[in-house]
Amino acid sequence: MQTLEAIHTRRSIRAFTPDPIDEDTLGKLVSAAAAAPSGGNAQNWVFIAIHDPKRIASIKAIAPGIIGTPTAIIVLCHDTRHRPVHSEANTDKMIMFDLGAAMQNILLAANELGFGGCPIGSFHVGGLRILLALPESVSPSLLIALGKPKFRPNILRKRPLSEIYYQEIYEDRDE
Amino acid sequence: MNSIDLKQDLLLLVAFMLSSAQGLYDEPVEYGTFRLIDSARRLLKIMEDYDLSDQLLSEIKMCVDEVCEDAMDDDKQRQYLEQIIITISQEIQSC
Repeated sequence: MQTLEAIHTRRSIRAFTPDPIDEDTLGKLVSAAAAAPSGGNAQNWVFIAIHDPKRIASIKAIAPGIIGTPTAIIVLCHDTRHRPVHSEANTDKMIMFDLGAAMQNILLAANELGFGGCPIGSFHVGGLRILLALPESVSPSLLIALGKPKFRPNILRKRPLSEIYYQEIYEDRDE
Repeated sequence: MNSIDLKQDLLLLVAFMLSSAQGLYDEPVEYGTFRLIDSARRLLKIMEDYDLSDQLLSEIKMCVDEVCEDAMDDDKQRQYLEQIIITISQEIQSC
């Protein structure tokens, strides 16, 4: 699969078959995440892959954003102990961009490997800290629910380029 | 599956409902509808897993699954829910 094809065929997958994701595949997905750019090459991130069904069920209980039953979850965390290269305010901002790039890499790699997923922002941070034994210095920012797609949604609700794309300068297009 | 498993599964459901309630303070209002539908779906799944379901409940679960898994627009989702509630009301009335 070529890069543009992976980008344009990616869909948010929320319904999964029971087929498991093997550890090798999870390793490839995390490797793709770690290949993402990061501000100042700080790489202030930690990725936790979960495929134990019992642990997934526990996480689902405190992560209302997970709708189906994924066979794996990757938790994207901010590791505050690692190489602060920006001011505190900038670090808080940059880490969201960095983890966003890592998230997209995971989703594109999953698409290429025949899996699918959905980023999840609705979860209880304190509960997840307990379930994953996270220290205070490691903060969970985002989950990605992953698995074999039960089906692939066709509809892609995107704003048309005519609304969002400008050349050279912004112009007011409101009627 | 025994009563200890059932207790654990119900505890997970309670955790889901309370986590949903807590999260909704900061989330879009429309998410609330979906969280309630998902709660019903999870309860129906538990009833199915513990042989507490019947044909009607299985059919209702299939409908609720469809609401959760399909990317329905609000109007279609509302119509679907309306039909499910009518079906349940008829069942309650006949009991």
